[in-house]
Amino acid sequence: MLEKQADNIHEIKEEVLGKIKKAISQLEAKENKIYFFCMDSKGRAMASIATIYEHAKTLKELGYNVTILTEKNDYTKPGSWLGAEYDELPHESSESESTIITPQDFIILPEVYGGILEQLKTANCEKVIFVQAYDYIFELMKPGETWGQWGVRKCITTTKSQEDYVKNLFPNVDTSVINLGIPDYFTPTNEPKKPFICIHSRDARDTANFIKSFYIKHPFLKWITFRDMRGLTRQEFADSLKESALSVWIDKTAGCGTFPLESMKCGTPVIGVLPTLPAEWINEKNGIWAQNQITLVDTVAGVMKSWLEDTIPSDIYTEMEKTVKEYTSTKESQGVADFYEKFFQERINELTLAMTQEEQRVPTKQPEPSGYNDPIRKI
Amino acid sequence: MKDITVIIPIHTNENKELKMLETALGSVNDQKTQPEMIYVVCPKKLEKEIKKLDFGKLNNKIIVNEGDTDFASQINLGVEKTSTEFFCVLEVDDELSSIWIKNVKEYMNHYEEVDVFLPLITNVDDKNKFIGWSNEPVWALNFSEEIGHLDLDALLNYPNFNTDGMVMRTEMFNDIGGFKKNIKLTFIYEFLLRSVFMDARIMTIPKIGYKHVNMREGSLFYNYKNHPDFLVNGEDAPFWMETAKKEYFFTEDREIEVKKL
Repeated sequence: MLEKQADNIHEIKEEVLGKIKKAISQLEAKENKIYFFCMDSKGRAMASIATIYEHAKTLKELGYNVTILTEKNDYTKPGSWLGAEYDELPHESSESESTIITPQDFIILPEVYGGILEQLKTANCEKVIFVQAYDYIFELMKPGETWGQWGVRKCITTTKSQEDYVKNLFPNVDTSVINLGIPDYFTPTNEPKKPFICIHSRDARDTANFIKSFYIKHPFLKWITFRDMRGLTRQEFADSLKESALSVWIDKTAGCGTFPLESMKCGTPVIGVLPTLPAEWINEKNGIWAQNQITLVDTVAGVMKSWLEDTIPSDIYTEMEKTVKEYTSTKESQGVADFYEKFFQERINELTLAMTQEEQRVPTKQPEPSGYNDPIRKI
Repeated sequence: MKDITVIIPIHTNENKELKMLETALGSVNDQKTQPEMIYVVCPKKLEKEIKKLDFGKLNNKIIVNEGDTDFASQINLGVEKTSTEFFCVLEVDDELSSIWIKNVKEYMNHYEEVDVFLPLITNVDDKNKFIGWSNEPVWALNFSEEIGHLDLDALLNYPNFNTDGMVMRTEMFNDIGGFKKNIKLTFIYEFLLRSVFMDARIMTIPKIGYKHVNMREGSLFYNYKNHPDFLVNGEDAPFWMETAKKEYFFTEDREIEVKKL
């Protein structure tokens, strides 16, 4: 009787060890699925979505098992504005019956979806919050709710200032920075620039109000053309920035500021409203940063006149170049690769430790099922 | 490198123009990129005095016009003597901005098909107070067929363009017949109409390249308005506008029947 019980315990132990070994080998072979939960751009260019796809594409190229997870079946892939190659990444919808998230999987959730963590609590997978816009962290979260209570151990963000902000809010969440990479099609052109001003604001009303106010207050500059950057493909976006003399950025709640970095990479000086949480790349030398949104039109008019007179200090162009050197696609890819390599290794180390403990354990009772025995669940 | 000769026409015999000429020459000397040559085209009477002026490092030549010394004749003679591929017009009472020639040379390299580069002109009054700009409308959206470039339709709808500071292909100027001295008041407009009609590519460089003093006492347009020898009254303006629109088809400077006035 006792002999039979000992055999059973041994078999269970072997089974557990086998599962752990399998989990380790899956991680080593990068077979675990990494789901990037992504909002629908509905065909409009969005920097945050571009970054998610960039991370996913980088990991795919590195051999990881990556899937873009969409909220609904009816989803517009970003190929039309981001590039056809991004449509080729595997996509799954959370509405689809065939989409299953297993405990071995990873899910990367944009900060705005913090509220669906509760729905994911039974899916015992690894959850990572991706903060690109700190202002949306609490968008769907209930008062008093934290990420930690839903098993979030890690967070990725795009600037040091956002990292500090997140660490302050959720000190138990391991937060890392992966700098943005501005693609190489954002490059300066040798052609002389044209008297155009690119304008980009979070709220479309700010763009309309700015342009109207500019023309009223500075009628001598009525011939200057503004380019609202909404609705352009990434290539058109880059082409517009390249040929324009200046760009205007209005986004008080910006997390990183992709637009000004893209502008700088195109050699186009930026006049912007200083965000509430300025990214570490913003300094007084690499752009013209205003505190007051109301008087921004006057600042822009002044800088435009300087451009017409060739009196914009050359230092600003040098500083712009220096700033964007830190935000290359290569560095971003390396950041993504390092993060996930380290993350996978941590999981492997945890499992190796669990295996060692399991091997050394003298069973006194039937082992409890680990998370690896949990049933597969849908979101 | 496409070379440029700056031509300064002096069309009166008044010594007070020499003081202004010094300022104009200074503005050429201050160029971040120097032109290859500067010509001063003057009446015989002023030759000696002009020779005494400081031309700095500029390669210069004084051309005496012993015939008619009106603005158009002075420019036409200057261009006739020019051996560089391009020339630039600088009125004696005006100034080039220090970035003009540098910008022209940069734009020439990128817009090789362009025959005439117009500057953004800052117009000031005789107290140096800003009045407005000229030549900028081509950069307004939908003003012309190609943004930044002037075409016939746009010019027929909006005549207020100015050739001050323009840098033009010498050969093209000679081919189309130069300025017409028989046309008063609208000779610049007629010249631009004729240029685009004869397929000259005209663009405005969106950089401030020239400072023009509007209606300076003794200037050509001041005289048109105030001097008894030149007087053109307000009622004559439509006539000269119509004349420009009739004459731009012809390269020849035809006699104008001013009796119609």
